[in-house]
Amino acid sequence: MSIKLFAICATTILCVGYVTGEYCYNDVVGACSPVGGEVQNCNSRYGAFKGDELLVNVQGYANTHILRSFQFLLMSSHFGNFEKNRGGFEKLYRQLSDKTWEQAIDLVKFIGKRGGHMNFRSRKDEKNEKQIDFEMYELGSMARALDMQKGLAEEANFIHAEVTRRKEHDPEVASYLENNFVHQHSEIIRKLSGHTNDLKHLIANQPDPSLSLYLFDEYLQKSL
Amino acid sequence: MFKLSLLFVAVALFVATQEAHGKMTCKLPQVQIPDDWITMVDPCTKKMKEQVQEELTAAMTYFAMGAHFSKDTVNRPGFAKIFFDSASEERDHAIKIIGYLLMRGGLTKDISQLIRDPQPLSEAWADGLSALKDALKLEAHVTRKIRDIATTCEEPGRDGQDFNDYHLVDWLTGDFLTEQYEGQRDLAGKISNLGKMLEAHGALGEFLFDKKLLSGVSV
Ligand SMILES: [Fe+2]
Ligand SMILES: [Fe+2]
Repeated sequence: MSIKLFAICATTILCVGYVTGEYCYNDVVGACSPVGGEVQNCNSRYGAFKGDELLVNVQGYANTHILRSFQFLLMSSHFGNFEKNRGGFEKLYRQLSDKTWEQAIDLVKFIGKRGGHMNFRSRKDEKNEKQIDFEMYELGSMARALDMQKGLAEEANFIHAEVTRRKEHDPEVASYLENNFVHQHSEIIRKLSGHTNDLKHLIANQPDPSLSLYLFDEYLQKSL
Repeated sequence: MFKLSLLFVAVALFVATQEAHGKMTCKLPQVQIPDDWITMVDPCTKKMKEQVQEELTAAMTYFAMGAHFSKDTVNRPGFAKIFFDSASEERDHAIKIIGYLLMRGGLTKDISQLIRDPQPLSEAWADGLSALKDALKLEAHVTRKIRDIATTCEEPGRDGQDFNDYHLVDWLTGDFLTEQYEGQRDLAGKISNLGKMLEAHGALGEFLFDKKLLSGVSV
């Protein structure tokens, strides 16, 4: 009987994996036998997380969130100083900082769920934007925030495309991104774009926009 | 000649539209604000700013602990939970310090130097006990740093800058040190309980302890 099984296995590619031990059960059978052995294949890696390529991208995505969270925190702090004194801007950027921080934690939990590990050094090259001047004025900061949020959205789209079109199909990753990132991004981007255009109109063709900015900041603080 | 004049018109139009649409007053003029209320002095301010990076390094280290214990092959959701919570708490500490500096009239310039890409001190641990021990050492280090700020801010001791910052020191010892000492005692208690069980019941001890941590009971 076992010879017969071996013969069938040897003839099919699928069984080669079984025989050479790419399965958790196989490892366990080996380890529980008198000979003993390593249990290496008992993990939750499957689908697009079998290879390292997607993992590296999701690690990078989590790291982008951490980076952005700290940058939003610096922007928030800048508008909290007594010279700027824009409580609304301070609050808005603090909320964006909190949000990106929470999402970074969520991404790392997700990586753990799918059998990966986190690498805090893995991130895409962003040399040309290392030098952000955080001493911003109101409109400039809003434009910066909009660009940063769009970058986060594009990175989600990139990973989504990898698991739906380019590489191995993995609906769980796609759905996770949709439910927890994609829709929220569009909301935030729409809001920031609205703010940027409001600000633009409010201060255009005005030699002194200070009152407009004061009122807008007050509105921002109350609406958040 | 006709061509040239057309070019002229085009250039003139371009310049005109640029002026009509492209020019906005975005920066507001500086206001003269008296500055004799800004009393924090240099060596003290510097230490406070450094503490922001310290707290965020602690945050990232706890973050890495949370990540480690979230792994499927490690599977210690209780440990992961307390470490992720600690990560966010440390971040809150950094924000609190920033808030204090802002209240005292600080952080009006060079803000980008405040956070310099904080990274975790370590990314893997042999077991729950060793992570708890690392956490306790980390907290003890942070406590020393806070005491160090208090020492500096009581006596900045530079020429003409003699200023005992009573309020800052009181705030540090009242708010921050209380939390440090309570947190350290809590960690030491956890290490003690888990350590005793590990003598004879290694894997089972950690398994049970993890479920206790997950359910949020004090252990
Ligand atoms: Fe702390
Ligand atoms: Fe702490």
